[in-house]
Amino acid sequence: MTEKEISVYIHIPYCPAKCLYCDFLSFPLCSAPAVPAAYIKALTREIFLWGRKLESLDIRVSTLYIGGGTPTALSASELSEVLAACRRYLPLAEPEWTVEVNPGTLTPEKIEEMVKAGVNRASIGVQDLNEERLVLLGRQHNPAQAEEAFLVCRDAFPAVSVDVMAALPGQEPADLQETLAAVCGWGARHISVYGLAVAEGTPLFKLVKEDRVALPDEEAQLEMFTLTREYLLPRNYEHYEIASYTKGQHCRHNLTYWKNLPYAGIGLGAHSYWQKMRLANTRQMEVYLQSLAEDRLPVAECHNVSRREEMEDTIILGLRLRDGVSLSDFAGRFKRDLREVFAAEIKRLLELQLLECRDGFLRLTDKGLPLANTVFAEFISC
Amino acid sequence: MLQQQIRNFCIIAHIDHGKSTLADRLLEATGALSGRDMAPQVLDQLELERERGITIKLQAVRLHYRAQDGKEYLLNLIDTPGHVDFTYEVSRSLAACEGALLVIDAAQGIEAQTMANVYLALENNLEIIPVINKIDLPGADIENTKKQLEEVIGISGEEALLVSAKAGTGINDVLEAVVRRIPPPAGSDALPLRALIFDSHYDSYRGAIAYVRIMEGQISEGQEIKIMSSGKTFTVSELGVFTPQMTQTGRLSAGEVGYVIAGMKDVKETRIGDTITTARNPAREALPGYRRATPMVYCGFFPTDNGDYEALRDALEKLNLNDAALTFEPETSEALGFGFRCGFLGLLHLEIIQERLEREYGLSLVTTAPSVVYKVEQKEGQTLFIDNPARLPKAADIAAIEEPFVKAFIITPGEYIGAVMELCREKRGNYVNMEYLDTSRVSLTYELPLAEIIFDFFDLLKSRSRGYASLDYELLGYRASKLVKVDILINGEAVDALSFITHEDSAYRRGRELTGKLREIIPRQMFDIPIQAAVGSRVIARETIKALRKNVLEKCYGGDITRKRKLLEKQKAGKKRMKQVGSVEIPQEAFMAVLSID
Repeated sequence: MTEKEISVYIHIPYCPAKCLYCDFLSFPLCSAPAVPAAYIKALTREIFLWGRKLESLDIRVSTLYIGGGTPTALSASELSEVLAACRRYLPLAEPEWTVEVNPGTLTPEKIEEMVKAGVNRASIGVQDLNEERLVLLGRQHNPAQAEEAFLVCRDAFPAVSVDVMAALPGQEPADLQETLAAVCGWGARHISVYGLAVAEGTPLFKLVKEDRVALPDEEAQLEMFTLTREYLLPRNYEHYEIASYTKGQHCRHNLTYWKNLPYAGIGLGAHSYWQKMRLANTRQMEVYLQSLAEDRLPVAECHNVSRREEMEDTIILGLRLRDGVSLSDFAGRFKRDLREVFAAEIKRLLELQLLECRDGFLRLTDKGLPLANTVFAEFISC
Repeated sequence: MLQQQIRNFCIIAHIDHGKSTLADRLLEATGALSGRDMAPQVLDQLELERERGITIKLQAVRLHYRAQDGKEYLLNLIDTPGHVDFTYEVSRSLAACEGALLVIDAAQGIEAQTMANVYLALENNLEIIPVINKIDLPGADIENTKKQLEEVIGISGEEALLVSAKAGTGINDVLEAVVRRIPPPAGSDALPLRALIFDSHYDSYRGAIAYVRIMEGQISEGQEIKIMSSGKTFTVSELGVFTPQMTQTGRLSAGEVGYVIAGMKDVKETRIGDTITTARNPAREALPGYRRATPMVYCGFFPTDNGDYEALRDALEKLNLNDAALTFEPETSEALGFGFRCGFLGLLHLEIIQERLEREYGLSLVTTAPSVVYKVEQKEGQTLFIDNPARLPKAADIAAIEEPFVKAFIITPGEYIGAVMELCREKRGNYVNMEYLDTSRVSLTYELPLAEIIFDFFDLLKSRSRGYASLDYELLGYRASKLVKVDILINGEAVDALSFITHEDSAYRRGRELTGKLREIIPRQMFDIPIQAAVGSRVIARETIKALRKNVLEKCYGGDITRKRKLLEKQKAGKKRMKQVGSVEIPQEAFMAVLSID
């Protein structure tokens, strides 16, 4: 990606229902603070404002990602409106264009709208293939629907990714392996495996705190993390980021984040990294709608990223990649050798065998992978 | 002013019984301050004192009062600190007075601390005027309070004045009683000067300012004076009285209370209890009762950031200018690096200094567990005083260890006698005496090791008596005890700053509790960390902190980056406050953990 390119994320804050573990900014359709039509009107305005800005700077959109929430919770015509706004206003340069889809909300009409607009990648939230756990988590689909959704997407889009969750309540390592086996069997060429993070304020957090739901212990979590690697690597998946595995279909959009490159976040609560600023849109629907009705970008927070911070971010995001951080890329970007900037930190972590520095890259060791937060924290100055 | 028309007095009271409020009212009634522009509790000036509701530094104020006999009187009110750590300071301010107001909360009755101070006042031959305060409270029991006065202190309840300082009732009766019952000062103007230093403070422009009571003779500006304990001489540059602001008078004579400025560079030149005389015609003997305040409790202060060492030294030096009882000397700990071993009058004094260092000087400190001073006789015959467990000689070299004991006075409602006695037994106390103060309250006397008292004794006493028991103590001296040093080994390395000295019988239990506590406090690291407690080479307790296995957050996209960074910053900030000991990172609170085990 060149300086004249950017990634764009578009947020759809609607879901058929809230999952028990979800702490994303999203509303169940039945009780949202604004109907999708009103939101899409404002969203279209924001897409327009960003498009105009990007065009004036001659910056092209190289990846576009529509996520949520559940974009496919919108009706086919609503979804079509969002897609059309992207086509009309954003300076697209044959982008990788992903839409998050959830089994149970997918219809042939929605698929058709997406294909027609130019969407070329679907990311499916399969999560688990155990019916009971899907119910417990509050997911709105069953295992059969998940497979069905995958097959439909595989036929419609050149690239399809599957999200799988690990460390779920009651989940045994063997259960995870079964799910992985099934997903591999479908022919998925991109799989993301996330450990469940129980965020404060979610219903699941309360259940866990009250001891009504038990999570796998740390040892089991580690086993699942390791098992994922050991299951997928021999099956020719490349482990290219902490949670991401692929057969030749790396997600270019996510690489933008991990390479600490600029992106525009459009929609309620969306974040942008733009001209050395981390921006966050308002999380309040009313403010969002009002702002755009007045043709103003709904930015609520703005943080200027210092050079030091940018270097730190480049390292901690880059280390997520299995390749690690390229010494020459870093030197090209900052005119400094990262081994000098972070000499003490790197020395310590090399000694602990959590990092290795080889072939022009600084990367996590296999030992360092599951302890990545310990490594990242070392690089933070605060 | 005629000596006959001077009255010097102080107020004795338990915390919260209303001493400061009464003082405010007296100031108001005599016009020393007008009610409107007066902050409440003027005599408690330190911010910390206000917060804690206690008086630490003494203050004095001169009041003018026209009595019912038509004469103008000069009343010097000398405030006293209200905490057991400062007993010596109290005794010196009492020595500067002829009388004392004994303030008792009508709802609470007499407390241990009040009694201790009454005894001090009686030793100094003070005329005591009982004042029953808070008579307007719903729980006030005036009759019972009077009865306690008679039975416990031997003062007729009929003499007691009934006051509500808060409401302002009975204030004039108090002033009249001060004039009528307290004798005027007796010393003669004609004798050589003897001025008692009962307090001092440091002023950055004028140096140490001594608060004095002229017992005999007189003093005037320009005179050369001599401090009797050190023999050092100074020339008086300013003399005056407190109104309550310092007001220059040029001279002070027998019976008066005021201040002396004489180019003394810090408060170590003006130690409390010392005597000032004139250089030319000096008094033959100093006033009785002077002793240098000796620290009872020691602990180490280490800057969290080693770069703050000099800043910590500067701050301690500044505090020391105003606090002669504070001692400090450089200390090096293998675990904590460079810091200072500091001595304090007691735990409250320690906490005050610690808070002031952090609050006023912005320092972040690691404080090690407090220790008393042990007297160690070595087999080769030498006697050592050890204020730092890390420095205790090897057991094989020790002939005997003695520890300081105190006589503790505890007053408790009868229903908690059992619980209080149990507590004293647990803390190695020897029972001395028990006395019923009235039908419901009991005074218990125990001899206890000071080391047991400075930890959590007071908190435990309060919790086991539902807050009703009160405590006071005085030092008895050293006694032999079966003491051992318990070392704590983390990952096989002894951490000097975690060593503690304890009685043989409790070594095992305390070792086990502390290792258990440390297991909770020390965050998991990338390897198993054994934590052991050992006496000599014998391991008496062991715990293991299991290695950290997985802490990766798998998800990180656009919106997560800021959140994740904040999370890592928090993680890192926590780490910054830790001390690296060998390969293990230990949080600050670990060094205080020994305090929270019983």
